[in-house]
Amino acid sequence: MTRIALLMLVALAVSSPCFAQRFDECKSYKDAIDELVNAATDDAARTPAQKLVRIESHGRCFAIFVVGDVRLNDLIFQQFVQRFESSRTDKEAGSAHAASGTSIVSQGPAAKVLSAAVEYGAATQSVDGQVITLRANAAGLPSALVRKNVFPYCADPHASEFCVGASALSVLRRVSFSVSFDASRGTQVIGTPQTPAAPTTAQQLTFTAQRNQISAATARVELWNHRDVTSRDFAARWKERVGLAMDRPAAELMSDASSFMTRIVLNDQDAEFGNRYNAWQIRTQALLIRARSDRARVTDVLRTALNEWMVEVRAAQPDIDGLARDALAAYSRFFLAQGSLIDSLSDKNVLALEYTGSRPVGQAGTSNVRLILDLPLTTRTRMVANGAATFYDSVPANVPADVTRYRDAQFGLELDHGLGEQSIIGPAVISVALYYQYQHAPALLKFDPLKPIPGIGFTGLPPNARTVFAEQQSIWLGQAKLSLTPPGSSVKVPLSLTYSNRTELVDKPMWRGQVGLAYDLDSLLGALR
Amino acid sequence: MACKLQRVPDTSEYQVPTGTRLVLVTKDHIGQVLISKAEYAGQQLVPPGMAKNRIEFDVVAGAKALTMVVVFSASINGRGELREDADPDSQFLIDLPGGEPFQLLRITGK
Repeated sequence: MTRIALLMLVALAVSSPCFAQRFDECKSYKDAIDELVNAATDDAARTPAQKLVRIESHGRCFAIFVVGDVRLNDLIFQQFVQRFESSRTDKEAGSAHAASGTSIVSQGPAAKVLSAAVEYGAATQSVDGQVITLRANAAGLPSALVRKNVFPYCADPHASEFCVGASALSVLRRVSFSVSFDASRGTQVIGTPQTPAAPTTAQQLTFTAQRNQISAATARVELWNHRDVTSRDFAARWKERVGLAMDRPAAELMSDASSFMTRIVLNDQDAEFGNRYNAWQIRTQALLIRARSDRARVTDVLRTALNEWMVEVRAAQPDIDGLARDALAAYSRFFLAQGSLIDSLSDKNVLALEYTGSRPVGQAGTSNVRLILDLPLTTRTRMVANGAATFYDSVPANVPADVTRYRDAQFGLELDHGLGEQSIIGPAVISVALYYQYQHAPALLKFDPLKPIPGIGFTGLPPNARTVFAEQQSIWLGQAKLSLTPPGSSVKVPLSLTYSNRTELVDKPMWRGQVGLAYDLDSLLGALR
Repeated sequence: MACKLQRVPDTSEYQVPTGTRLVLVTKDHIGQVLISKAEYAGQQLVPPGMAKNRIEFDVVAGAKALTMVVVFSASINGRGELREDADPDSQFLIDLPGGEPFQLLRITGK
């Protein structure tokens, strides 16, 4: 229940006031009613009256009219709890067993809210070796609630309905955080195969998150984000991306809105249906023009006429209310996807502040504060600059006086250039980066002879030594990287070559070549949805 | 070439001779307006994963719906219109407001 309360709190924080929306407040009806009321003559009133009786031009607003009072907030809240409860996977142990292959389930007090967010699609979980990282954007939860049809998206400027607003989401998208758990520090329970007769069944590994397993936590806030939604660059990027990005939500809207609206204005089984609809339009148009000077009367005439037409529709289509609700949910998902795409393309210059608290194995805990500047230079080239300082959370009592909490300062600069059509191997980005670390205080390694640090051995230490100081020298690093994205895939393959003058523990120059593989989990989750 | 679609007066029904090839285009007013999905008589008029400002199809006999989903670069604040294009002629058909991305046209092939 605590999780539900937390999730509700976040949802409430980004939602609008709570009562069902009136159809005449819905934008396309409202605009046409305003136009009709402001018409000076009957002739001038004809065009807005024609617009009002054209039901198929007001698909979303008409669905709101059909659903009407059914979407009262007590129902929305009730549905929210029901849907959330039914989507939880931690209620039965069986849900985890259903997965084929190894599954890792994050549980425990430290991870409860985050794992709930993962279950609900508001955060992503990744596993790298023994480190499990949960990442979330503050807009993730309300967006997930819209995608799951719990709350609608606010599509009308003055909606009185309980809904998730575009401007709130835009602000929340600027805040993100992550928590990493080091599973090797805790207890992992390897389950037994489900049946002895199934030797190939993968064993289930359960990770129980505990507070002392948190190896790092990061919070990031965009301090300044210069949005650009009007330039030629933005228009070109939008045109290039919109087809693919909106394919799924547009297909869903096409299916649901079409199922609803074709039943309102067409009927293949009844040859006279179209003529009756035409007659209804002509009749209603005349009544609206007669009422045009009084807004309340116009609204009443329209409401009565729409109800009259719905009697005809309901007689042939008794399931029309359910179709209207499905259509409204598809509209919400469509608007959310459209807004997310625009937000993702409109970021131009971004200045962000990031805090990372780390507790690496065998080293003193640190806090890092980083300022990040992301500047697109041209449509294909961007520059990212970082400045950061790291502080020890505490310094052991027995260290020399010149070891202070201020550990190091870092500066990084990266230039990325998209190769575009110059690349014969699909989309590719070439990057060069420089990194400098000024080491103010030496790296402190906590040494415990009973628990050696993985990969590091010490010789010649006094028997009572518990803290080891690494040599205190600045670090230079240069990197060249080529990131390849095979056409039509969400996989990214970075190939990099890095030179460093030394590392914190090794005082010799080092060359390192790396090949990586990154997968865009969002698209994978999108495909599974 | 003259425009072919004829609206039945005071209604939203369009009539056109069966077999006529229609070309419909979007015109931008606020932001860019493109058609992401369009279907007429069981035929998909926009390939998957694309968004276009122009669709073409041949009118079949009887009352059929042209259904469309329109995408807007200015989201719900976007605005445009759908026109019949018969170069050099052109005629206004319907408004395309950002708050109503799904649109339906009743076209009767006579």
